[in-house]
Amino acid sequence: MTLALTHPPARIRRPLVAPLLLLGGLAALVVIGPLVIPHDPAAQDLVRTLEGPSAQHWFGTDHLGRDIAARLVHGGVRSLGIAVACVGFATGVGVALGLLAAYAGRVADIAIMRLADLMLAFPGILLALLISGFLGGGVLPMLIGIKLALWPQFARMARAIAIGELAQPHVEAARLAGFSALTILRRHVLPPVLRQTVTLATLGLGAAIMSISSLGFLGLGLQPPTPEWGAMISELLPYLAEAPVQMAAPCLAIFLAVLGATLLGQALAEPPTMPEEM
Amino acid sequence: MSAARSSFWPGGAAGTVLRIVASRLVQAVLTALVLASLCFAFVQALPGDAALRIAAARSGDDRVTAESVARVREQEGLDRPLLAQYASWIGRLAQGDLGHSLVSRQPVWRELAEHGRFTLGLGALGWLLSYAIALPLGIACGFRPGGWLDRGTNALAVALASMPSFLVGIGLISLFALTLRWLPPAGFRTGAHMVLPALTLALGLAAFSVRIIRNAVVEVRGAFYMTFARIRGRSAGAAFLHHGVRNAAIPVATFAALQFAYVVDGFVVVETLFNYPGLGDLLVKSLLARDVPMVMGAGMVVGLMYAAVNLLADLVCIGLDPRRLAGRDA
Amino acid sequence: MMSTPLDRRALLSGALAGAAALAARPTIAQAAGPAELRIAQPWEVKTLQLGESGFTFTRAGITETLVASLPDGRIAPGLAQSWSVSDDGLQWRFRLRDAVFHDGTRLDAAAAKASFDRLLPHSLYLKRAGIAAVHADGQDLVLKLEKPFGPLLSYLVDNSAALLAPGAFDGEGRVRAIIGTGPFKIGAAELPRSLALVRHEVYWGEKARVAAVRYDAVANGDTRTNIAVAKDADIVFNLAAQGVGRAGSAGMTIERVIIPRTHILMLNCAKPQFAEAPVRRALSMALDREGIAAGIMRNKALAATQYLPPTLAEWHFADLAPLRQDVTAANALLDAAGWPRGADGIRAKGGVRFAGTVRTFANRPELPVIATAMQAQLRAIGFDLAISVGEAQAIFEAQKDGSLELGLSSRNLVIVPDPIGTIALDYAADSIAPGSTGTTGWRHDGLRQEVARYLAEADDKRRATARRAIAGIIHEELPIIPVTWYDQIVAVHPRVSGFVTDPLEQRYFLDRVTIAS
Repeated sequence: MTLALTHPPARIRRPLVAPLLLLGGLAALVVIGPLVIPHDPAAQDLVRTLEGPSAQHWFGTDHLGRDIAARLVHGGVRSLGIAVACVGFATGVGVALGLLAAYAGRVADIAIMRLADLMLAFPGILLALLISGFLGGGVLPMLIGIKLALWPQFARMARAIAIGELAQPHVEAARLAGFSALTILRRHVLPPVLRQTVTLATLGLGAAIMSISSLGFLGLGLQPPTPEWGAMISELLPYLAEAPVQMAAPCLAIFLAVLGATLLGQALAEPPTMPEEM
Repeated sequence: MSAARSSFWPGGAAGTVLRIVASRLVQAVLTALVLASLCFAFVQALPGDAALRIAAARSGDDRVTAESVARVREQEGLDRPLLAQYASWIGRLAQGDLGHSLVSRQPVWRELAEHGRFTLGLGALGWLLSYAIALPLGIACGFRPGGWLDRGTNALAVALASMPSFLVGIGLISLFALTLRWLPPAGFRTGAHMVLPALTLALGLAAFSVRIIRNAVVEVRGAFYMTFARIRGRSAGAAFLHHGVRNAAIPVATFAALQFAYVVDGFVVVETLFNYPGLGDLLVKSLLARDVPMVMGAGMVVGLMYAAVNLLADLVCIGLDPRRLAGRDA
Repeated sequence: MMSTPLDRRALLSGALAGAAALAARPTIAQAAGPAELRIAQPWEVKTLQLGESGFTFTRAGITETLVASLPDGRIAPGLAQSWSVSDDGLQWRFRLRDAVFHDGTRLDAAAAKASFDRLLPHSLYLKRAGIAAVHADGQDLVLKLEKPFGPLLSYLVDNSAALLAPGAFDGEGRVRAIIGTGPFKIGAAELPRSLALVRHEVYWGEKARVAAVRYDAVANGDTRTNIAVAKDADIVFNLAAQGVGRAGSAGMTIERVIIPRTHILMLNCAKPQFAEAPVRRALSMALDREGIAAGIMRNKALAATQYLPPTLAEWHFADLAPLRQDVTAANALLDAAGWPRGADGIRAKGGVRFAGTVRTFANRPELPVIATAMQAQLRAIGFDLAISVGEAQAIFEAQKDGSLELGLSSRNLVIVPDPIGTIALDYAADSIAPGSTGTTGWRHDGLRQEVARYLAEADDKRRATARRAIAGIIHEELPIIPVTWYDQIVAVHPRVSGFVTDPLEQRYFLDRVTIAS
């Protein structure tokens, strides 16, 4: 549209560098960290609780004398891993259903879009509570809960774009020429949908990281002593005055991860495209 | 031309608008019913004895007795078949009765009204506050894209958007309640109590909306009709006021509605942090207590609120741009 | 200095009052006047039924019972100014005080009888005293028992059977309004969050010193800490131990008193890994109670050396060998009991792994943390502990269906001032106590006999012998492993004087408090 007018092309590429570095750095830290940091994230030392940073404990120890750095990197595997998995699943399911709705139309369209509406109207926290009630606190319920909350966005986006594309004359022509549904979808519809999906998925990644940490903060997340960034904050909150560094570490980790995802999403979609038709 | 435009809905379209409203209302009620039924099914499927949890919610965990559990089971009819319980709920709903809370024994509607008032109040306050922040900033940024204000605002917005609301809340409490002592840290009784929770919500919302507003303004200012208006000799500001505001307002209104719907959900964290008695708090507590009628009622209200806000946003959009009616007439 | 924050607060509240009006109550103008005592405590008032919320109304000084307990545990006259018991121990006669209910009606024997008739069936503990009949006789209330019941006076402190005026009940005998006799009456109730109390001007005893009390429920512990640090309440009950330093440096006075509450590790003695007493003893010896008490509860004195804390002087015995950590001895016990270590360091015997899942809950935020601490400590003796944090009731349900392995829970020992009430339920009853606090798969006939003897006994000396026997059996058998005791931490605003802590938590004595202007 007016992209070229308002934004010189030079600005579009450059913003990608910083977020990619940020996310890549965090991912590297989380992957390499457990190999570098000698401490067990669950190992306790009730004598050395809430100690400040030292050579042995880079970010100090928590209220059970556990090494914050170790918990941070091990927690990151979960916080980030679950977020990526959620968004991956939600993208797959959402895009598939969105395309189906657009292509099949009629009953399938109505059914899928009503289901999406229902999911959007369903209070997310209720969903998380119900699912963790069924399955107990764990990775799986969290995955399912967040995935269920995320897919409708992808479905709506995919459907909106697909309907637009399917109405294009050349797609119409392809259909009349007898190309199979799969071929049409793959050749003409999927590429523009995927371009948008990348943007939405990156933004969704940030939202998923926040949801996981919020659930952890509310005590609805993973079972202790599994480290997770939100749960770490919730555990350390009562000790805020005594252990500011220990508290700041997971806060910063969440902040940087979401920041990376947000910046990347923004850079990919400048200006951000909102789903215009609700 | 301007006369036709100044009335909110152009003449002749009123019937279409009414039809849209009616069909959306029916949809909303159906959604709410389905939501409530889903709540019923989910709560029933949760493991554990509901009567025990209700008794524990009434008296506290270690004051539960076998007798109090038996009494709950018998008096609330929890030993009836599920289908019978569901049927009796639907039957009462048909007469406009939402039933009573199994914990407090108060009518569900009264509890919902009580908590809903708090949620709506704080939600509206936070939402208004967010636009009081985001509108002037976003428009100012949109007029000078790439300027220092735009870049500064963007940096701040991105930073805020990268913080979960509990972090923002903790930061605000630490600063304003515990260090500066300007505001109370928790509660709900006075205006002062509402500042920090409302600000927590508002900052989270403004972080996103300021960007949407800015982009809408940028896009509209670059649009053809604006260029045309300026060729005709209008100043940039006047041209924007005359043509731009309406067009820029459409995506903003849509987004604002989305955000208001989200407010309900984002509430649980804020309510927990500030000991604020809203719907999220009610929902979580009722669910833990297996207070089925309360959960169903709350599910319905949240569904209806979501639908109402979306409908309102659509109406605003139609009001702003009557051409949309054509595409929606179905 | 002090006026600056208040002025700013007033300014801000003024500026936002318009928007806030949607949600804020019409009480904006009358927020916390100088004469109002502001209480923040964790328990919400869910209902008006005394069998459910009775403890709140007695603590707040709204309702009263025939006799009352003093902070030192002695029983003192309450609404009965004196009493006597027949020689066979079956007939108790209480002379009622000349008291006036909050609605202006007089407390007479007929009103007391009517109140008992309605509340006794729903009372938590008093109904277990075997009261066969209640009679009004002039200004005397007469209780007839089925058989002698030693701890009757303690059971009469049961706040779920406090005395209410006839007007307090609806047609079906349920409580519709709390009309008691206490020094405070309810001005306005905003259940479950808040009670506005006003002074009862015709109280039978010394009138309350403050005219009004705002009694707020703040369930979240961090929020209570914040309220204490901001000095936004006059008395904050159940302050989290981590908040003590901050509240103290903000100028609040901190009161700590060990109360009769014990955090307990429950074991299913029907499971092979917990069936033998020496093995349970070894598990107990693995626990670093002092570390948990100092590190998590922030008070070393809370390490539970026996089930019942020293606060209950009659029930705490110095001659019981203190429960202490001794990993070497624990390992020796387990080796002797035939539980050798496997390759992974975890013991096993006859194909049974020395392992289990502890169920606990987060309503008491320290419990999951204690479970986490125990996980590391138990590993040192070759026990593999998994943790499942869920609902408190899940422990009871797992007890019932036999699936429980371990549970970490918390027991309030004095719902009535004599812990025999909870001991009888947890250790000597045929059915499992639904509070998730009792034994599992364990039965001890000797203990049951002692409990029965104690309940029927009126003689102080023989009661003392039974007490020692009961405490001894629990201590030796360890069907439940005591972990830590608990202290009530209260933050008191410097403008408040005359505050008294009651370790039994029966009353908060707000009527004795004064506020400096």
